[in-house]
Amino acid sequence: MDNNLSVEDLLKKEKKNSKKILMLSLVLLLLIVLAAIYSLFVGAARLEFSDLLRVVFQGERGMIYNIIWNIRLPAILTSLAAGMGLALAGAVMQSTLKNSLASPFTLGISHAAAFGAAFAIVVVEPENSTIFSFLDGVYLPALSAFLFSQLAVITVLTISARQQAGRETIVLAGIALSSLFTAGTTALEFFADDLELASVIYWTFGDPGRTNWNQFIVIVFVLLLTLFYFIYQGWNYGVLNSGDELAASLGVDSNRLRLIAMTVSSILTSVIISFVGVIGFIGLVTPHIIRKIAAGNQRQLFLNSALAGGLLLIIADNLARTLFRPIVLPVGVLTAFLGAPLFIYLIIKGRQF
Amino acid sequence: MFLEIKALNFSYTEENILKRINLNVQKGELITLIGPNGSGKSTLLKCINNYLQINQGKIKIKNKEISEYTQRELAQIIAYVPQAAEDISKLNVFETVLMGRKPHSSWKASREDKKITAKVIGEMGLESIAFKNLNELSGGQRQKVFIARAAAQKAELILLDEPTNNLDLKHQLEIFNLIRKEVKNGKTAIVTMHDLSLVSRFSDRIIMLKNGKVFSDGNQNSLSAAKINSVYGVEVSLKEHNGKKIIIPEKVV
Repeated sequence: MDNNLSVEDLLKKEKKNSKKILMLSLVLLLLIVLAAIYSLFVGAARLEFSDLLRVVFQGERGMIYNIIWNIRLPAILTSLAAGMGLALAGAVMQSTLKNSLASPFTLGISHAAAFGAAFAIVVVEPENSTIFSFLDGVYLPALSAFLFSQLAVITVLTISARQQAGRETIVLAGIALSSLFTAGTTALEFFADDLELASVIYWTFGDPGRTNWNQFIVIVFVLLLTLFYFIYQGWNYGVLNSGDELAASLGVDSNRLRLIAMTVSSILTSVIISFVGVIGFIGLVTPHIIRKIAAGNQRQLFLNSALAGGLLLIIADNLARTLFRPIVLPVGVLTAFLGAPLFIYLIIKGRQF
Repeated sequence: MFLEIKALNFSYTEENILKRINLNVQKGELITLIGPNGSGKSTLLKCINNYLQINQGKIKIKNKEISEYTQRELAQIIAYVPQAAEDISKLNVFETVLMGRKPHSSWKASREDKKITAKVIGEMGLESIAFKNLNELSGGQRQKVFIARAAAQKAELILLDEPTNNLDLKHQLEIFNLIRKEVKNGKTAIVTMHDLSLVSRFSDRIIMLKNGKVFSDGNQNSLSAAKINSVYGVEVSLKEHNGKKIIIPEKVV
C-alpha cells in the first residue's frame, strides 16, 4: 500500500468509501421498490399489470381495487415497516448490549408479547367488562401484548443493569423469559375454548397481512421517530462501541444513551409485534448480514440494517404466500424456519457482534 | 497551574484506594505514574478525567474544578487512552481517529473534522493502514491508532493508561516517540507504565505510587534502588547508560 498519501488523498479515499456505503443504501431502496411492486401481483388471486393500471388510472373500484388497496398494499407496506423496525431494533440492541445474539426475539420480548395477546384473548372478555368495552377485539390483544412485552424489557434491562451481568447473562435471561412466557401461553391455550385457541394460535404466528391502514400508520409513525433518533445519534452510539470509559472521555454519557436505546427500540418492537404478531430472527440476523457486506459506521449500520430488514420481510412474506400455494403460511413460521439455522450458524461461528 | 490535585481521596468501598494525593502539573510536562499493580495508577487517571467521582479533595484543571465542567467541555481539554482498549467496533482507522473529533462537533463530522483527522493520520504515519479495519491490525498498530484518536481530540492533556503493555520493543519505542511528539507540540501527558527503564528514559517527571499514596515525585534521578525496593518489594541494580537509568530486577525481597 501507498505510504505517501497526502491529506487530500486520504480525504478523497474516505469520501469514496462513504459513497460505497451510500450506494448500498440506494441499492437496498431500489430492491425494496422492486420487491414491493412484484409482491402486489403475487397471492391467492391472480393479478395482471393491466388490472393495476385500470385501478390506478381509471379509478376502477371493485374486487381488484379491494385486493390491491385493502389486502396487498397494507400487507406489503406493513412488511416493509415491520421488517425495518425489527432489524433496526436488533441492530440497536446488539450494539448497546454488546451482544451479537441480542434481538427482540432472543431477549424474550416477542414471547412476552405473544403471552400478552393470549392473555387478553382467553382471560379478558371485553364484552363483559366495562373497562375494556372501548377496545374492540383487535386492539385489546395488541394493548395487552404491548404491556407484557414492556414487562419483559424492564426485566431484561434490570438484569443487564446489574454490575456483574455479563454478555451471556442477558441472553440467558432472555431465554428464561421466553420459556416462561411460552409456558404461560401453553397453559392459557389449555384452558381456552376452540375459538379462543384458534385466535391465540393465529395471533402467535406473525403475519403482516392482518393489519389495516390505521395500524400501519401507528407502526410507521413510531418507526420514523425511532429511525430518525438513531440516525441523528448514530455517532454517539458508535462511540459507545469503544467502551464506556472512552465514551465518557469523548463527552458521551453511555448509561443514558444505553437506557434510551433499549427503551426506544423495545417500544418500537412492542408496537410492531402487538399489531403484526411474532416474527422472529429478522431482528437478529439482518444486522449480521449488513455487517458482513459493509458495516460502515454506526449510523450507516442502523440505516442499512433497517432497509435490509424491510426488504427481507417483504421477500419472506412473498415466499410464505406462494411457496405452498394455495395455502398461505404466516410469515412468522417461515422466518423461524429460515432464522433458526442461521442463529445456530452464528453461535457456532461465534461472530463478534 | 495547569492541573492541581489537592488532598484527593477515592474509594470504591470503604477502604481508600487513593489517599491524600497532592499533585501539581505544569503545562508541557511528560509525567509517568509508576507503582505495583493495585497501587492506584489507573484509578488516579480515571479520577482526573472525572470518570470516577472523587470522595474528598479537589481536582482543578485550568483553575476550575473538574466537576464544574460539563462532560463535553472536559472532553475538549482531556483526552484518554484506556488500558487494553475494549473496542468491539468494526470501524476502520480513519473512522476511529475521527471519533476524537466528537467533543468538538455536533451530530456529524464536519469537513474540518475530517481534515484534522487526515492530518493526524499523516503525522502519526498511519496512512498505509488508514482504511483497514481495527480488527485487522496488530496490537501495536491499534495502540497507535488509539493515540492518534486522542491526538485528533486536540486536548491539552492526554492521559494514557499503560499504552505500551503487550507491545514489542519497536512499538514501545514508537508509542513513546508519538507521546513525546505530542508533548513537544505543547500538550501535557500523564502516562502509567511498568517498564522502569523505559520510564527513566522518556519522562520528565516520575511519580511513584505506593498503596494509593505518592511515595516519590521527581525526575529520573529520583529513582533509587532503595525506593524501588520499598515500593515493589524487589531488589534491583541501577546502571547508567547515556545519562539514563537502566533498572535490572535481581530478586524478590
